[in-house]
Amino acid sequence: MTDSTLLCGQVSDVAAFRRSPDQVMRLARMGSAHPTRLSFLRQMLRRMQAEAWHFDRPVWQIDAKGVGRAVYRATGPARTYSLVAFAHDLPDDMRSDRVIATAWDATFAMFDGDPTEADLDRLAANVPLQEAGRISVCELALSRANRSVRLFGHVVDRLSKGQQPDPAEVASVGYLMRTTAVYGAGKFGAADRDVIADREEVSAPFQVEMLTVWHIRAFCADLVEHLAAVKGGAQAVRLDPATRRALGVGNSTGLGMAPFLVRHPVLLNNWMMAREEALARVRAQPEADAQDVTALYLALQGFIANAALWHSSHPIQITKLADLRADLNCIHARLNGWPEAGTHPWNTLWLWGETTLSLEGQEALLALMLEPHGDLIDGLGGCMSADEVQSQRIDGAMTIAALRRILQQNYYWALAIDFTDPVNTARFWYVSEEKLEPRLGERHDEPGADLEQPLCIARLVQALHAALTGLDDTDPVAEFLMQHPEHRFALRRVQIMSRRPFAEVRDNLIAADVLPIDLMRCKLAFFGASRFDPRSDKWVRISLFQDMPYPEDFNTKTTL
Amino acid sequence: MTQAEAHHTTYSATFYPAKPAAPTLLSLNEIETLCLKAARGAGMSWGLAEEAGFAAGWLAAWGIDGAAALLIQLQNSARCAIDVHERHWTETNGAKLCPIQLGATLGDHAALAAGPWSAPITIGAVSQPILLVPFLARAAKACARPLSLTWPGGSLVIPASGDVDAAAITALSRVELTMLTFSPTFDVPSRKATGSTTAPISAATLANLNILALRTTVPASDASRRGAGAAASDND
Repeated sequence: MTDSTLLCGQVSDVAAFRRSPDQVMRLARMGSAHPTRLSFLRQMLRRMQAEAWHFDRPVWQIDAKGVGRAVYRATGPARTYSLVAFAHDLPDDMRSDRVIATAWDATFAMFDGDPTEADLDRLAANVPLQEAGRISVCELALSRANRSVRLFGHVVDRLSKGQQPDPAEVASVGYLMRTTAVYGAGKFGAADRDVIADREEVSAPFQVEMLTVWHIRAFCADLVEHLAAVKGGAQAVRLDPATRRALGVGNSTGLGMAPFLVRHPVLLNNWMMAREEALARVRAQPEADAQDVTALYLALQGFIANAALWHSSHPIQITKLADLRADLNCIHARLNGWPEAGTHPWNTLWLWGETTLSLEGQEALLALMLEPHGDLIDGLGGCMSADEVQSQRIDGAMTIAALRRILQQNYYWALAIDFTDPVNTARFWYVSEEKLEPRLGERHDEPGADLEQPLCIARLVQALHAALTGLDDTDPVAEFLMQHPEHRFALRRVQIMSRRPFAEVRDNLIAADVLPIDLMRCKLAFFGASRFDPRSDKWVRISLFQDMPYPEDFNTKTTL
Repeated sequence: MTQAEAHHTTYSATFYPAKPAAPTLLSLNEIETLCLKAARGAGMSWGLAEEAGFAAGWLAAWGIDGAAALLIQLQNSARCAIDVHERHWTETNGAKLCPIQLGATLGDHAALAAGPWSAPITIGAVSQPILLVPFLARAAKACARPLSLTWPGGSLVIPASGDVDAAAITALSRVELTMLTFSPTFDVPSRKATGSTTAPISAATLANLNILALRTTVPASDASRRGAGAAASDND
């Protein structure tokens, strides 16, 4: 298109429209993140549609009680991936979303290729055990899910009587099952990330996990129809397409997810930079095409509808939801007459939002503004993975002077925190011996702070800075580390950060008022999750793939 | 408990059968994570514990059971202090040098005049010297220069690519304790690693690494139990 050449020339000054890490990398803002078209599940769906992937279900051996196995197959231009599903009969008293559970309503593995009968038997002996079993280099992910007892039963019951489920019930829960863990990248014997790192179709972050969850959603819809048919016989009906589409798949996540973004600074940087570059590109556009204005309206309508259905009983989220709904109305009103005369209307809209909207509303506006601009920003999705191994080597030749300079430039926010104030060291992250799960303790009331996990980056970096006192500017850091191996962790971190401005959450992660759900929401939004529903300040439920196509919908389109 | 356990710090527990019939082939991710925690549990700083995980994982990808070598090291000593005199490196208190700390430090010196890529360095006594190789290979690649290692009874060259000949390092993996000389040298042909692990870990190594890893965990208290789960039931 000739337009795109012109566009590139006109938006070349993108840098002027970028947000700073100081603004972006704050917990409160990260905890207001919304899914965007760069989210990982959207990237997966776009690729599968563009490449005309084919989907089928070669195995369905589920009995009248809903127990058995099934295989869902995704065939792309280069390879095949198969979700192997095991359905179980779980008593209610064994149903727990916590990582300590030992049984689930359904368990899954993503097989690399087409599984043989022997593969299925091997998986049947291991996958239902989850953490207590072993999978192999032939598997790419391991997962499990629990039913939403209320909705699952309601849907089976209605369908078996020849009726569709009550739309209000469907809307209030939103999913038939929620996954309680999706393990990839080498967990429990699965293939390491290296094995698939050079495969184009899964090179974006978490593509195997997204494919797993997407097929779990299809399995859940098939399972309720199967059970309804068993129960109702000839009277039973299938889900109507609109209801089926309105069902997402839930996910229930505890503290275990919270440290991820802190432990993967390179990945966090790349996710954030891609999203921020996308926003800057949109803001830098000199004009708003009529077509894009229409697309923005449509996206806003979708957001308003989603916010209306989004419920939470958690006080923090109730307030945030009220803010969001008010802000969406505010945006709707602002769009009346927009774009006005003058240049850079997207930037005008953005700057208005920054001064008018809550953080919830601002981050929603970001997602909305990206929506019409696929041609301009979708390519950035290819920049969101990371080779974390390369960043691990310390540059020992860096001088103490250079290290001091980087600390002052990138970590001044950390150096400014007063860690002698107990409020600023109130919490500590640890792993429990009893359940081997990450937890957040109260430092001044509970034992165990001597076994703290190194997630309090600001404090560690401050200690490193203090240890540099009196050292010669020209000394290499290699010499310092030889004498002070206790600062190796923080120094590596500082070097990683020196070239990655969005690698660090610029807040105190052990402060009394830290909210782990902020970290979780940010990560889940990058996955593409909606309906963020905290169950406490450390536990959250969300929905994935709600109102999005099913695998079989792509088959229909490609055969038309 | 009848199971030997390890945990992943960001996810849930990994449970390994206590007495599997055959050695277990862990993924690279599992080896790195388990060894990081075991090293930390044994008393290494977090930064060096990360290096221990890296070293064990790197060796496993070359078919060498670095986890077993690391375990021996951790059971004996997880700390040392390096003393440099002229170009001779020894342990300050006359003890054996820890290969993780020594390897990481040598790697840090890759581009420096004091490092082994500039001029030969001799090492007093280092235990489990196979654990040095991952650091030297990583640094050789970073500075694109080969390095030779000689010890009483053997020698090998780490190519500038960092991709070593697995057969050449196998001999070093049998050495428990040695003196060493590092010297700049001429490059040799190299090979690629497979990208996945090929060195199974014995039940005893797994169990003992898990014992060390458990030392990084905090015993439960009523307060910690209260704060862990959701506030409501999951049967809704």
